[in-house]
Amino acid sequence: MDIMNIPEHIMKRIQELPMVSDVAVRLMDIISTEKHSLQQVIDVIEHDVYLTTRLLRIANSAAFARGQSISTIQRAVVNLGEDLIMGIAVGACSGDVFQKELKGYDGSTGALWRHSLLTAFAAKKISELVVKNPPNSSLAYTAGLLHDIGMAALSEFLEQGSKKLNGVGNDEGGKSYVDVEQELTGTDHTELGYEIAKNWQLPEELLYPIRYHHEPSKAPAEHKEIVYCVHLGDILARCTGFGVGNENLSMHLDSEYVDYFNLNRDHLDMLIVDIQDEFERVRESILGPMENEVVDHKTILIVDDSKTARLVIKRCLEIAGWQDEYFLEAENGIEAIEFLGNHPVDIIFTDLNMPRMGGEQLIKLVKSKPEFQNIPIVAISSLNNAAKTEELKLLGVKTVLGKPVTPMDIVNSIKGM
Amino acid sequence: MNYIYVGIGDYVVSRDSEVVIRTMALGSCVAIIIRDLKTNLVTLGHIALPDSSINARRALEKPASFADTGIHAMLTDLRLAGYSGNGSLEVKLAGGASILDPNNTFNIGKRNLLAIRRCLWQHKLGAIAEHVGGNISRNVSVEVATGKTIIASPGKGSWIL
Ligand SMILES: [Fe+2]
Ligand SMILES: [Fe+2]
Repeated sequence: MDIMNIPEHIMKRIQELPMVSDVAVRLMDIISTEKHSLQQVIDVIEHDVYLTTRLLRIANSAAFARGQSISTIQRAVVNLGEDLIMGIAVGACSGDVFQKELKGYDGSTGALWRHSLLTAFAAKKISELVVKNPPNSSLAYTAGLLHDIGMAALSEFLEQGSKKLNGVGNDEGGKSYVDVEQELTGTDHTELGYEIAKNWQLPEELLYPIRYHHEPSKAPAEHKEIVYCVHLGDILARCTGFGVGNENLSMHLDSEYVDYFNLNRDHLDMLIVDIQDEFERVRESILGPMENEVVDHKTILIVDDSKTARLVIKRCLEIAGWQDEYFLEAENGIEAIEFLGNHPVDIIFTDLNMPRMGGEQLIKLVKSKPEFQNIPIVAISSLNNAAKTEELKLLGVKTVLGKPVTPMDIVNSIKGM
Repeated sequence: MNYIYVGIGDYVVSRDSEVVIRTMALGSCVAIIIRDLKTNLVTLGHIALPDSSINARRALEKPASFADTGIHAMLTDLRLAGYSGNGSLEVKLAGGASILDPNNTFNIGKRNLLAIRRCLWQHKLGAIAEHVGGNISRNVSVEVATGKTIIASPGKGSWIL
């Protein structure tokens, strides 16, 4: 193992991370040994009421039950298959490690688990194409499930610098997100993942893919096969569009993979489709309908020539619970109109006195265009008088606020939106 | 508004002005959006791979998995739904992202875009707007009533295409 320099304050947080449950670790142990019986799997599950209930519910969903009612865990295990059970157990029994929102990556609730599941599907399929010393395919699957656990721990330390991550690698020569993590925090999710896996006392074979899935060539020779499986699995999961968050597809492909697999480009191409099909098949049963997963962020346009004033409005909105929305900032009406042409703006906050084009002219322009006229406008005026307010309301402004604005004003102005 | 979700390898044709067609998590896949300005018909397809020769059976079951069969199927259905075939189509593209692949060993996003442009060209079509390439994942939605197309990417905001 090469030397890792994890900063002390981050190392301390790892220790506080919730443990993966006993049930999940025991399932991993059993499933990744070559010879095990169905009964062993059932015995473990039956000791966990929560997992049993959850598995029975999923086994009875339309995708799996095929019209039959499944009342025993035995039948559920057969119907769902060991791998999927492993996936559900890890997702359901690791505190909220896999489910929580990862703000440092702009990852929505459950995004890490979705990415992990797709990586697991792919890693397993690829493991069947290893030329020499093929790893146990259930182990490859489990490694895929766990490869990015470090992201759950690193996220909070990226929050301050996440803007920088946002700008990462939009061109081909771009940096991988692991490099950006190192720049911002002094460590990365593979180092943390390795430490977490050790803490959780996961089987040793799982430590290597967690540590080296972004730099497979550095893995010890006897573990290279499984590490490359997870590396490619991760790449394929990202190709399906299911990364975790704003790191998106910014990771490097190590083209030395060709030495380990009987795998041509057509294989890889088809795998993108196959793993998505497999995911679609289980998604509804496990995650509910797609609609529930779609997070619609609002886009808010703030127009003010003072940077401080824009910041105040933004902060107030964040306090009011709109911290995950997209903010666009314009210095005057002309810039605002430009933004309106390019972004789907949901609400406009505008100052009145600004150079080049003031708020009143902007409001008139917005209200005169059919494509914009329904966007609610909150005007912020320094002349706090009734006549002015009345005038602005006649122009179609929803709310008029006097300066200085308070968080309470802002909260009231967006009520019901 | 009613949302219709388009999965990988699927496509939808609609002229219902209450409908918004959506597709989520485009990585290397590409969304093709074709709108007939005369009839207000809109179709959106979620294309995964460049060429149907890789899997003929799937091409029959889910033609929009591939650029060639997908574009063909979308145009055929537009005609069946009332497009008169006289050059009133507007095409937009989104997606086709790539992982960082300095040796160009895998570049599936780029190959998809190339194949789609070629197929469109064979049908005498070209995109009037694109948000493609790079290494971001994209969600796309199209308002059938207006053709307004919105792209969003995790942590990057949203744009009108
Ligand atoms: Fe990773
Ligand atoms: Fe990953």
